[in-house]
Amino acid sequence: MKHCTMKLALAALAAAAFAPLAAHSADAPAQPAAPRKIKLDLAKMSKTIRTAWAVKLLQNPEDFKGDIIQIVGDFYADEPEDEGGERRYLCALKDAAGCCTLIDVEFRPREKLSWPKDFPEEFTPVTVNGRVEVVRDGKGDAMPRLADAVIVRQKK
Amino acid sequence: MDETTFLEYLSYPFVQNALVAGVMISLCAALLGVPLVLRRLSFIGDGLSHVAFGAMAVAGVMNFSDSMVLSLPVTVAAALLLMRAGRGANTGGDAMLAMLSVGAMAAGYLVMNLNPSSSNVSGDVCTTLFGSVSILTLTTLDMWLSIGLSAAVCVLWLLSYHHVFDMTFDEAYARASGARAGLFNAVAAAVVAVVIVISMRLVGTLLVSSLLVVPAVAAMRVAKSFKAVCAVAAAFTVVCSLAGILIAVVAGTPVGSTIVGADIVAFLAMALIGRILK
Amino acid sequence: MDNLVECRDLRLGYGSHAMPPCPDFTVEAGDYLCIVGPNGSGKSTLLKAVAGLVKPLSGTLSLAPGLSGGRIGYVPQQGPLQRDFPASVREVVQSGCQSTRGWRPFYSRGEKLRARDAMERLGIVPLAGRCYRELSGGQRQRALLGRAMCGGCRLLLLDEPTTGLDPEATADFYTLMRGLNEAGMTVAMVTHDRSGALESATHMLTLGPDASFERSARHG
Repeated sequence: MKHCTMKLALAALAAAAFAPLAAHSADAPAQPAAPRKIKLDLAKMSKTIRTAWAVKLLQNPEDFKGDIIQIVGDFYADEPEDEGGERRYLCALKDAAGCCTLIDVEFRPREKLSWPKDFPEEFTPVTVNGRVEVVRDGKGDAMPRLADAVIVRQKK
Repeated sequence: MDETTFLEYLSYPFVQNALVAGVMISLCAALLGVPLVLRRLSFIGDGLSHVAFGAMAVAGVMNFSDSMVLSLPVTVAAALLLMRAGRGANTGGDAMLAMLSVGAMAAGYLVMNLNPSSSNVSGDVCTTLFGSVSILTLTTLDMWLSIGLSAAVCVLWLLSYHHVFDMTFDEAYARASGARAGLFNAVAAAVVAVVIVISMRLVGTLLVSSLLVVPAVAAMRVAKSFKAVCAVAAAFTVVCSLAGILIAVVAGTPVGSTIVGADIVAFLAMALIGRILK
Repeated sequence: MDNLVECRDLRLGYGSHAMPPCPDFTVEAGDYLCIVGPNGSGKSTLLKAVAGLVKPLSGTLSLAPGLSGGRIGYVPQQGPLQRDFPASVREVVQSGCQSTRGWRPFYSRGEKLRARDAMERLGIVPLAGRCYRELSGGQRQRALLGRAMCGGCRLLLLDEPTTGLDPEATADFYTLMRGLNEAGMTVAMVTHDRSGALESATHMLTLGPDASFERSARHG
């Protein structure tokens, strides 16, 4: 028992020591840990405009490529279907009435977070910001994805 | 975290587009609504909008880049068909309209569910039916089509203002004076269909009638001449639509219902004023 | 004496339903013709045929040359839609010039003067800005007459113009019509009111089983 606790403690210390380094190395150059410059912040907007931007994001993700945006939606994780696949973290943006999901935006956290404790509870509201990149889904359609994502609030 | 300011909202191009398109659309709807209400055809807005919904659903499933390409001709055809079948509410034309409209709605929803082009069928339906954000998410083509068509309708209406009066006040007399009633009614039916299709972008399928009907009814409470009714209806709708869109943007309410809400509130005010003036 | 309207062997009807045959009759300039008969005898239909709205099933209905469009002032029966219509009297009267207006999106100065003239002849200039639906039955009829006369018409066709008018308004109306006729207007009126008709009519056309066309001795 004592061994285990010791190992855990050491691991924690190491993580704490190396975390800032890890953060730095995963970072894009000249990106301070201080509040990043968000070009489009959906958290500051009314539900109607938030929904409008979400639809625009869905229709033309190319328009947002490279921008730092902040989105608000329900968090959930998508377990990989096959063995070697990665777990995906998504933010579901709802429509104005809140009843249906308009778009699921995948985000890749900047920091190395461990699942599930570093993540918010699934299906709870979350605010995430990140840099938009455009990927193709299974059908070949363009989809937005947030890279260097930072989860701002764990829970409302 | 500071909230977005009013001016910031106004700076977004899609908000500016929505204001322009919204005003144009509601203007031509209000102008057309005056003769429609006077000929006791207020229910047509609802019926034809359901037909348009069905057409939009099919267009979506067939992956049209713009659903108006299908919904415009289909709705115009339905309007002309109904006109042929029996004008007005006294020759069974209303029953046919009811069947056509409900049938189109059901078919549209069925088609959408059987062939979902997006993963979010109910969301699309919700937006289409109630117009929560449609006017804010117009594609460029949609926007220019809406503005262009509404402008054309307004111009046409202004040029045929006296024909509209003659045919609405007394069609029998107009025909005796040599008016080409068949042509007028066909063009009117087609124009109403066009206005309904583009109005759906603003307030959604279910609320289209209010855009046509409320300004006219409100104007009739206070105006004493046909010219005044038309002018008041136009002013009424411009003010209410602008207010409705801006309130929806800032307060986060769905655009369609907010505009209609503004319409109803303004109507009550007009009714009160009308009472007082008597 | 020129014939404005001439009917021979006229048969009117809708689709397969033919109405009882109409006696031959003529209307000359300056006449005051009253058309009477039981319901369903085709009085309104006859008027519509003269106005050009329906085609006869058989027979001839000829109008004098130049008597078309605005030259015939047709005052159809008024339905509830018109009674509740938000229009000013001026707008109603002005719409009488629609046949000369044609495709033009506005009324010419001449047309506006004609409307003013008609309103003066009927004594309704003070009502010009009033709303049609706020008028009394008699006032509405004057507005409609104004509309009919605005087109510079030579023949007035009236379909039961005194329906819904109280006795005083009805009497006023007949006085007015008499005045217009004596000033040169040709009148053809469908009416239920035989006694009132007899007062002013120069001719009486009776439709139905006892169909006839006769001159009447006009009193006064």
